[in-house]
Amino acid sequence: MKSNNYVLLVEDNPNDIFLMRRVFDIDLLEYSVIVFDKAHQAIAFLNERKNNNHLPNLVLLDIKLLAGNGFDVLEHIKNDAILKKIPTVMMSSSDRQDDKQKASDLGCDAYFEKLRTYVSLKQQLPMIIDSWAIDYENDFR
Amino acid sequence: MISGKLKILLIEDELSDYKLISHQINKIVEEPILVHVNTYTEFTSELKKFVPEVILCDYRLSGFNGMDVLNYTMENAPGTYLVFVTGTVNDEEIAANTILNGASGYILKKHMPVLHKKLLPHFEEIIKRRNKGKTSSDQREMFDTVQNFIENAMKENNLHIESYLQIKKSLAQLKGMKKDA
Repeated sequence: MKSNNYVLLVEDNPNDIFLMRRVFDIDLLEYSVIVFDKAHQAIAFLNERKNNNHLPNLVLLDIKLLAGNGFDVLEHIKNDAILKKIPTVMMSSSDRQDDKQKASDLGCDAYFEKLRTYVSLKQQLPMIIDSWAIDYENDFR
Repeated sequence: MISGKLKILLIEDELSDYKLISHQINKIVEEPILVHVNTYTEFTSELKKFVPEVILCDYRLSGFNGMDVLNYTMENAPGTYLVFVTGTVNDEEIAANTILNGASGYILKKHMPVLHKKLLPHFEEIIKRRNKGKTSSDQREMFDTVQNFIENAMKENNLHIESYLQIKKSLAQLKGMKKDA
């Protein structure tokens, strides 16, 4: 049974969404996953959840999105006094140093190049979630 | 969970690892006072200036290693709690050597997702020591205070001695003047 914990995935590639959902359904049973493929939708959702006091335990961001990009979402999160405590991890197919630098400058907690196979995703995604997800009931921050 | 403050010196030259370790610390310490260094010079300077209650140290660093940190700490801040958080996997000899030489613990980076759980017993031990008596950082602060007091007292004594010698010299001069008269 799923708890109230959830991860917000901001991603526009249907294949990546499918594979990530599969890992969540099989290996990360304690988390639900909510997906948006446009930056403004993700931002609106976060603002609404901020008002309802039900923030995601982690945000996973791709850079390229259908509308806007992951940096827009990251910037919104890290400039908001309440949202900024949400750990935010970028997973992108871009290995450009300037993208990594920009993510770091905007306050991104971690940056990973996209995992290319399902096997590596199955191994790494749970580690990333376990390392970075915040536990609102037990963690100080 | 650690209520209140804990002074932590983190020696880590990988930015991503530093961010993750600091995130894990924030899970279990209410008010961590965290100083991050990545060079040997910064480490020696902060050890004296910041006076940490615990040092968390990567083992393989650029230009120096964990044993350098351990030796310097044992010499200059003995009793400071030191835990290695390292990616040096399965090197039993290194692990054993560091513990034998006075490190308080050794955690592998492969346990990073649960690092906070691995760190918690160490932090609790530090708090226990703090509650029992003075920690090494408190002792060193007291030591520095006493040392400063003694140095100041010696300076004052020297001033008194100088004044005394000056008075003695003036008296001798006066005495000489009297004899001449």
